[in-house]
Amino acid sequence: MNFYNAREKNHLQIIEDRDIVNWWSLFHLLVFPGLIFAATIGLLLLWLLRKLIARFQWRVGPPIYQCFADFFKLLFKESIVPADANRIVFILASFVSLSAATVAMLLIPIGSSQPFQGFMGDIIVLIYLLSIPSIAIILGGSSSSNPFGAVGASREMVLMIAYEIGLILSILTLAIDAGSLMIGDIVKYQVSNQIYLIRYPFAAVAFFICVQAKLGITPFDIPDAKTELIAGPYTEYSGRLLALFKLSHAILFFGLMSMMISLFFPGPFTGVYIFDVLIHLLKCSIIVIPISIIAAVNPRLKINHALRFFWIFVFILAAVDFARALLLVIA
Amino acid sequence: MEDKIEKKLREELGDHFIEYELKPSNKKKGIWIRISAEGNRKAAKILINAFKARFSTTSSVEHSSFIELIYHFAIDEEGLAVNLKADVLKTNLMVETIADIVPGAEFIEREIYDIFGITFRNHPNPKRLILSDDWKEGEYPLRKSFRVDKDET
Amino acid sequence: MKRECTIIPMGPFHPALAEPEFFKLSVKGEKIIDVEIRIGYNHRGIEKLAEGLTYNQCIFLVERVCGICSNIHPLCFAQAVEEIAGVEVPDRAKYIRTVIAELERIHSHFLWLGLAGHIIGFDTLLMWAWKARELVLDIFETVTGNRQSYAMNAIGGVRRDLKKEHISKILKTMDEAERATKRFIKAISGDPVTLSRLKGVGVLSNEDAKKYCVVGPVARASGLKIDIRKDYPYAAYDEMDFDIPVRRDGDALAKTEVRLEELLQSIRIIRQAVDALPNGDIKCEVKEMPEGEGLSRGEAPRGEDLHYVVSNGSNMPERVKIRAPTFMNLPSIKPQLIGNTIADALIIIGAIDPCFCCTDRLTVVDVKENREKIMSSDELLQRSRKKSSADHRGS
Repeated sequence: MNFYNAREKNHLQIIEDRDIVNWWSLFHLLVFPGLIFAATIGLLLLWLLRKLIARFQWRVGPPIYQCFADFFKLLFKESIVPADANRIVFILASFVSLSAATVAMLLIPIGSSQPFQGFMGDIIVLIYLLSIPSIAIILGGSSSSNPFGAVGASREMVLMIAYEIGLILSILTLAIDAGSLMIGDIVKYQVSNQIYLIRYPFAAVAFFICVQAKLGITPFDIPDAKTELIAGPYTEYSGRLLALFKLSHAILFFGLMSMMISLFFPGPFTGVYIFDVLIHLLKCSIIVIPISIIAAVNPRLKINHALRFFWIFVFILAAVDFARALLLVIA
Repeated sequence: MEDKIEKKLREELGDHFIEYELKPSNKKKGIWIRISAEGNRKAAKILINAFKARFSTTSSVEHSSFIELIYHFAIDEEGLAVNLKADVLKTNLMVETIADIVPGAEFIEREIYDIFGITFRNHPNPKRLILSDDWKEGEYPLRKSFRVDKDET
Repeated sequence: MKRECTIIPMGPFHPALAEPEFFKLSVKGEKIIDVEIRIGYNHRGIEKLAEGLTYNQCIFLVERVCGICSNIHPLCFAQAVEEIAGVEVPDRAKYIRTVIAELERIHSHFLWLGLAGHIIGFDTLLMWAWKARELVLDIFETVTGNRQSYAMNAIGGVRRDLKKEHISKILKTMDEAERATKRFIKAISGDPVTLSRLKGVGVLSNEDAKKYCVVGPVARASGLKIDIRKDYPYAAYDEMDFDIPVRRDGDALAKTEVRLEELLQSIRIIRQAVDALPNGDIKCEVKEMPEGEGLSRGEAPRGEDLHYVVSNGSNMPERVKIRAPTFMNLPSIKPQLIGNTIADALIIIGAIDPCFCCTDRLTVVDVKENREKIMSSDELLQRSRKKSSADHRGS
């Protein structure tokens, strides 16, 4: 099956007529690149991260199926909702987190210059969608009536305030340079000109750091710091609900890696879609290497240190390239 | 140094100073002074303020009619161990606390209350330390009358 | 709006504390404003048990006071009993005791370093430090047959001799341990993120250190130059040449630096002791136990360990008093914690290297009535019986 053509066709259809229930979009949402594909790749990338960190720490590390085993084990376990918790918010948070992450996958191009459901201003929707899992866990943590959950949620909130500025500023830099708010246009512009990793390295670094914070990887595993806060906002979650959070984390992991590739070093595209996807996955694996090195050689930051780090260091990085982009456009 | 300590304590404590003995302890010298229980605060103050002694701990030993408290101090620069012995009669198991002079003595006094039942008057935080809050009053596990195997039925 | 403080329960079971201990932190936001410490969750009544055992059995009992410093307790106990019996331990035994005690310090400090790394989220440091510690545990296995609880001490000497092949293995491992330690010193002092997690955190002022009578590396990090090995030398320490590292800052970094330097000093002591190992017996006979009392101090990896033994002339002690170093260091956590944040709470607790010797109870929150109570031992016993009988029916 040639996904490429089907997708192009589908894309046009959606823009023409959004009210028609489209079976292709359901397939995109649930199988490729949505739930099943993104979750599988996400869990594999998380395994790669764990394995690399383990090797740096002189350990053997987990087998390749470990993340799947963890997920399926949780799926068959009982979910306990604390008696004092706000039941609806507590349960809903995990579903909201998963659905937002899945929908976001439709807006991120994988191995091509077009996302599966692109439209004018999709990058703004993407920024919102990607912040929903963080908001969901803040709600879940604060509704769990657990002091560790509450402290974890407040830390997550502070961390979000810290990294969102850098994240949005670096994306805006590219949008200004490409002159479009469509992620597809940003990719196309790079394919025909020069990749943004070379033109805007500072924005790339800022984005890379913000992604680590968004994924809560050491040194930014502040909200669920296990030696301080048990599991932070996730403390009261168990069984299937926790499995959903794990899954949305995996999808988010793959989604953010894909976004980094699309925004900063997309292409070259071979034209055969399946090869393009494989190249894309290879690039994802390569990004995991610097992330694992940073996670292995750093202790966890304190929340106030993280705030200072993002608002000063990361903000300056992103602002420098933002100013350059503005100057280029004006000139 | 040991003469100075003996002289000073004998002068200040007066009638509370009962006996003095010098024994080796860990290749260094150790002073063992028997005082009356009422003189414990005064003696501790002198050792800490005048001789810069470091409080180590308080041991407690049960005898037939009294419980003996031994305050272990150490004067580290001299390598001198100073031990104050004070007997507390079982008919009146009360003694003044030294925890307000040495905060480091707070825990051990709470422990001695738990396991031997000596009440420390004016203790800053008179709560149980190692036994549970609902432990039976009047049962002290380190007393000879307490049997360990009692409830193993 | 009324701003109340939140209670954060740290323990009795907490992923970062391996032993049951309870710290009730009152916090405002992330800032700690009060702390209550509760111990005794695992009190085993060792002092009581010791009164019903012979002196030779007691050695094995006191060895089980702590799993990490399982050499210093029997060593101190043996010294106290030897003092009562009035026997002089053979020189070779003294040297062997010194070597084992210092090896224990190395393994304990590496263990601490790893735990400290784990607490601040630096798991790589944990893995690397414990890898270095494994070398020392290997020595223990070769020399004594056990990785932990080595059972080396006996009243009147030691139970096993150090053979020639052991000595070459020890010297070789010391070279590796020294290299590892130097690498850790470089890694910690060179990493700005690690420094920011340790510097200025949990400061114990010199005055507070004196007030709370802290001992060991905690005292030395707050500028108190006390070390039982120098002040009240036991075993063969009076013939060894070593320095006492002292820092004045009293923060977590100072405590780390003190311990790292102590590692180097311990390696130095072991090299000297192994080189100068005298020939002769390793044990002397204790024929009779007179009435009397014995006081013995020893420098455990965590500070001064004190054993006070009273003998009534029989083969069982009348009273054994054990004061482990953490008993003095633990109350000093209060002034260190107040004013710091939750993020720092565990590294502050961890920095005193707590070794909790601990009764049987736990806090349960009754959900329906929403009140807190402490369960008694009887209730727990009944509950566990109910649970086990239910399990039997189930199977």
